[in-house]
Amino acid sequence: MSEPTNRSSIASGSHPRHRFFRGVLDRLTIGLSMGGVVMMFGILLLIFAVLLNGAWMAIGHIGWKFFTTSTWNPVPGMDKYGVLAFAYGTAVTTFIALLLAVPLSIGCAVFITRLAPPWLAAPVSFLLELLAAIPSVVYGLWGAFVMSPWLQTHFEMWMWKALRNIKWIPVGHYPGHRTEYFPANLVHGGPSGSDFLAGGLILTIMILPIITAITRDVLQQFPEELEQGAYGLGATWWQTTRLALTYCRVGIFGAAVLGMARAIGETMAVVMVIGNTDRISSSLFAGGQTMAGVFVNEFLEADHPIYLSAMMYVALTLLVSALLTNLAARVLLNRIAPS
Amino acid sequence: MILADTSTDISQKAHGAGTHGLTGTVPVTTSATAARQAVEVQNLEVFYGQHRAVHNVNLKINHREVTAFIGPSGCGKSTILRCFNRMNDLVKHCRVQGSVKIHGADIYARGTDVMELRKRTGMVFQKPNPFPKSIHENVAYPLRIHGVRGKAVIAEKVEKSLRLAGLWDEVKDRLHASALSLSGGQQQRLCIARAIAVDPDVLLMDEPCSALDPIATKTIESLINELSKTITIVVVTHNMHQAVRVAHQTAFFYMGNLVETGPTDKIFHNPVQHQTLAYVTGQFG
Repeated sequence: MSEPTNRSSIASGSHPRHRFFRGVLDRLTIGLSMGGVVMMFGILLLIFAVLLNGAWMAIGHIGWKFFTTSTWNPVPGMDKYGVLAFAYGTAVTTFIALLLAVPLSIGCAVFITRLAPPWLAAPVSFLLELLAAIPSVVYGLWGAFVMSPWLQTHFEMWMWKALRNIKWIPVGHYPGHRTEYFPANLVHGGPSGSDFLAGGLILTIMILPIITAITRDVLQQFPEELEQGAYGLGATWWQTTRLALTYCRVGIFGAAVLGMARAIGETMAVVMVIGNTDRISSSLFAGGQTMAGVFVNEFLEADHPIYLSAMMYVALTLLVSALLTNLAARVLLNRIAPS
Repeated sequence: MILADTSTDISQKAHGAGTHGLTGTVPVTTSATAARQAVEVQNLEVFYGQHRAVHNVNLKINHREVTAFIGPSGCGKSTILRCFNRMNDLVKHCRVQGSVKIHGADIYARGTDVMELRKRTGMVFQKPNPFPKSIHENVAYPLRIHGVRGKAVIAEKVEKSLRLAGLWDEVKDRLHASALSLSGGQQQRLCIARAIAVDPDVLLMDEPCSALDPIATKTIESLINELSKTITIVVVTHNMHQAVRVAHQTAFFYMGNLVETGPTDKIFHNPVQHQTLAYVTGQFG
């Protein structure tokens, strides 16, 4: 024990005081990391509890009708609350964003990892990460002052002219209108610039960096020997790239899920371009509202108890649906993961 | 007639080599077989940036024979092998001069279809590299990328290739299991099946056994013997005994130069160059 080379005396500190401090430090570190984990779950539970408590009154008064109606009339005495229009807004904008962002991101990531020379790949990567660091309200400002006007006068105008007379599939009718057809219904109402399309586009731009960055990292994991193997069999660049994409599909799916989570929760930028009306419309040019957006617009106005409780109910719905989509994504992920 | 002679040689050699190791007697290839060359290399020079990795190599590889490339690490043997299917095109700053002809056609000529070239010259790598797909899909992959369609046609080709690679009996009941569930030796035979699925003329093997245990190595070596009846095989190896066991011809490389080439027996027992003698007797390496 007294020999300086004795391992146990080195490990526990040769001096009793050192040994004491080392023990305390160990316990402190273990305690901190355990505490971190417990706190994470604790906070989630607490948020859930607070929202449930706040929404309890609305759940009692409105019940399931909350999910089947789209009227939102908070005037005292009227008090009609339905989340459907907001849920629809969240779903449509997220869908548009994923539809556009996923292929674009994959293209971007393929460019960075498999096409661009190193002197170009590095700055492109850097710019991409920079995009992720821009605050969402700045995106919103740009969206409201630059993108929306441009959409209204150019892109949507062009889309409207192109689609308004194409009537393939009857899809029902708007109240007070003749039967609508797909895809003409997508441009019903004409260009507005502040609509589902604008909300979806701003989300596309916002989730593009994160999906691209993760897809890029995943693609870099494609083993060199498989690449060589494919080329050695006479595969073209594109065939080898397809092999790489297939190999990385689980990771790319994960990237899309993260992008989706961000799109569902994104608030400020969307509020600034989506038009903020509580209606459900199959037209991309109709104004809408998302679940997250409702808070920004109405939280300060929620001046009577049932109104406030209904807001909490929306928040609870948002939380649960975000958890459920992530859970569903996890299940899907396990299904496509190689066994 | 000539080919019949060659295959008799193989069976003799395979038998003799298995029992006698380095003393195995490989009949000297007749000049008649040498007349049919699968690969002809002229004044080949390969540069990596400023570094010249291969110096003025001239070499002929006989049709439907096994040729071994031996030499110490960094002698350029793999680099030369990778010139035969232009895999060096994928290496940055790699430059190739001189000509490589496969069955008379210069593969570095302008307008060469590199994908078609790589289809005709299959390659097997040092580390088994099956794709993370099923066993069936691994062998079907080269067929699909070269435009073969039809389930029955592909299934037939896959079975034929797996049989040729001596893997069919082991995997026929689990063709749709992941290729990664196979052992290392099986994976390497799967890679061989994958390479021969599109009926290549030449099979390039870059140290195909270096990641395998002795038993798996033996299986692959007898497979090489078997395949050389129909395919020209070039095998790069670190293992001199392996060259003796499998190759009709051996080429010895040292520091980017082709020192000596000839029938395996001659290279190992009666080499002309003192460097070759020093290497095959284990004085350096």
